[in-house]
Amino acid sequence: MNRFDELSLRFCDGELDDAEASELQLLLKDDAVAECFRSTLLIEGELRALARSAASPRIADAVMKTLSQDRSSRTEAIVMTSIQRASPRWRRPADRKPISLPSWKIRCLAFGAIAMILLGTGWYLSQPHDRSVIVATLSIYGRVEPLHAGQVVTTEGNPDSAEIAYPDGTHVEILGNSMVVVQQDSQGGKRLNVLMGAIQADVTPQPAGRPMMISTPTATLEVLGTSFGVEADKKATQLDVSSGRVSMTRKIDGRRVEVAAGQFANASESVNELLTPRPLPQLPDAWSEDFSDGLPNGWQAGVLRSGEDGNVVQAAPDGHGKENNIAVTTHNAWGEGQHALAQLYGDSVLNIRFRQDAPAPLRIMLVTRAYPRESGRFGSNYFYEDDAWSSDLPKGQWRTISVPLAGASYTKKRGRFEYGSPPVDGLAVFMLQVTTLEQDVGLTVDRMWITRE
Amino acid sequence: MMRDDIQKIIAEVLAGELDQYREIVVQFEADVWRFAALMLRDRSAAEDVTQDVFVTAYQLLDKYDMDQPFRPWLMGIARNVLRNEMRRRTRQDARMESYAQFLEVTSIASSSADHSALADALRRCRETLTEVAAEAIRWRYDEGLSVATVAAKLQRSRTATQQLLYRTRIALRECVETRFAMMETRP
Repeated sequence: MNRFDELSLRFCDGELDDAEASELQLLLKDDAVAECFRSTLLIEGELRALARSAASPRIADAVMKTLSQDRSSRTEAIVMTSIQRASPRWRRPADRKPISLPSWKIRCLAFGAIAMILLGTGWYLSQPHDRSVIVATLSIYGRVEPLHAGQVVTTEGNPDSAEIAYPDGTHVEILGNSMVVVQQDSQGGKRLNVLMGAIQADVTPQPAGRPMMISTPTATLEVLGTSFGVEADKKATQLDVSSGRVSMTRKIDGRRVEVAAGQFANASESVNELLTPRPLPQLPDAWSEDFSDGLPNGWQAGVLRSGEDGNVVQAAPDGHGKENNIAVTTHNAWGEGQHALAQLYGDSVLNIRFRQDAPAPLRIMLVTRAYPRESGRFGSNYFYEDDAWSSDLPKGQWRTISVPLAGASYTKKRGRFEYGSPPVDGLAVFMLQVTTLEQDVGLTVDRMWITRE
Repeated sequence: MMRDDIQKIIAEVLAGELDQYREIVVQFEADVWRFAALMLRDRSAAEDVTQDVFVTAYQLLDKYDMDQPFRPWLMGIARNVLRNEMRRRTRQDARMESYAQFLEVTSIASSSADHSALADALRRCRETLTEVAAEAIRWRYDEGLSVATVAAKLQRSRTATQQLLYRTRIALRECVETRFAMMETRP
């Protein structure tokens, strides 16, 4: 055993005296020796980690116990703004392929870069983030609540939405099934972290050098003053700009594009996909789904059945909200990169061919967005109900209903129901649900389609 | 667990779902413990410090910037907690600070995947040890026994046992390095 081995192992055992420590320090001036020392530490750490498996539950339990005892004071410190807490329904990631350890030499060369990154992280963390600062207000369920930096707004279920209003007049509408973290940088700049879901925003011109920053899993948006919509999930971000201009930077490669009024762009997790602003498309005024090609990607609720008459979809629990309705729910066309299913007009009609095994009230919901966006206008959820649709429907018999979309029974926005039917012109439907609410009566849909009268 | 999953869990914790924090502890506890164990060379103290790190991280969670990866942020907290702990300790431990950079880079920079590959290589290398060497390593590390106790169980002197452990660790290091070298040259 050479002297370095002896010293390094005595170091691992905590047995070095002062003279030996100085001796080791001298030896470590040689890069090759330093690299070997790092190998020794890595293996020593791994050997010590062998005892970890027994300690692991103990540590987790101890941490949780300590935190539980501290919970009351902690809860007081964090002002809650969860509208309806989303259940953790995201998928666990697929197992990653093990990555081989780079060579010791490469690791040595990486040392400098890593140290720089660590220093950078340290700097960032030193920036003040004061939770006590009220940065905006939140409108939900008819209430207006203060929003503090660091708070999380979650909207569960398609019918939900909430509005964030900043003192300078900036408005952000958070649509259903979204999770947004409200933040503020050290200079008072607005920051939103859209972890999932969709927002639409009207941003008042921001002070020079302090743009509003919006972060999603795949992109960073820099906003000086404009109207735009963002739909984001783990894999992609779609940005629609109605007025002004937004800078969009793709996180995976740092590529940046300027998206102007009337344009949209997609930033995905892949560098192979184009990051190019394109004109916002004109949406079709008609839409049809007869399931002949199966269920579209992202279909949210319903089970495909094959019968003599072709494919149909049987209602199933939609897994959203407290209701967990038995429903046939389309995909979120905005989330699937299609902007919407169809543009709506005053004479738009929704047709549905369906059957049920027993009478039960039928409810139709249209989730809409303003398209093309006009400043100050956001979408709502439009609901349609009529007992006559199914009250006398014999078991198993198909029926087709035609529902004028200008005649909603009620609407819902920011958690509040409103009776009456505001105009649908200028709106686009990006998701549609037919449900018998909590009653499972075998609701089966053969075809749904939107036309104009 | 991917970054987005971690961020969503953190958002839930911030929204009041305390129980979700267990996921964070379970996910990163090994990294923190390894770092603490290496710095402090004391299994029990490493557990205590690991707990402190996660409690501190929870208390600072609202300051975590979700644009940044979580692990470096957590390991930064671990580094600070460990420094404070070492300051409280003896002069010999305080001298450890001169090696802190080595330990930080070794423990913080290497990813979970690195550790997974290393753990696998180490496991295979342990299978090649002689019976007595394997026993010594198992008692010393797996069971956390002192060198004196290991010596008693082996019916050897303390010095001889220490020499055996030294030689075995060097053999393990060389075996692991050889395995990685083979992996890198494999097409």
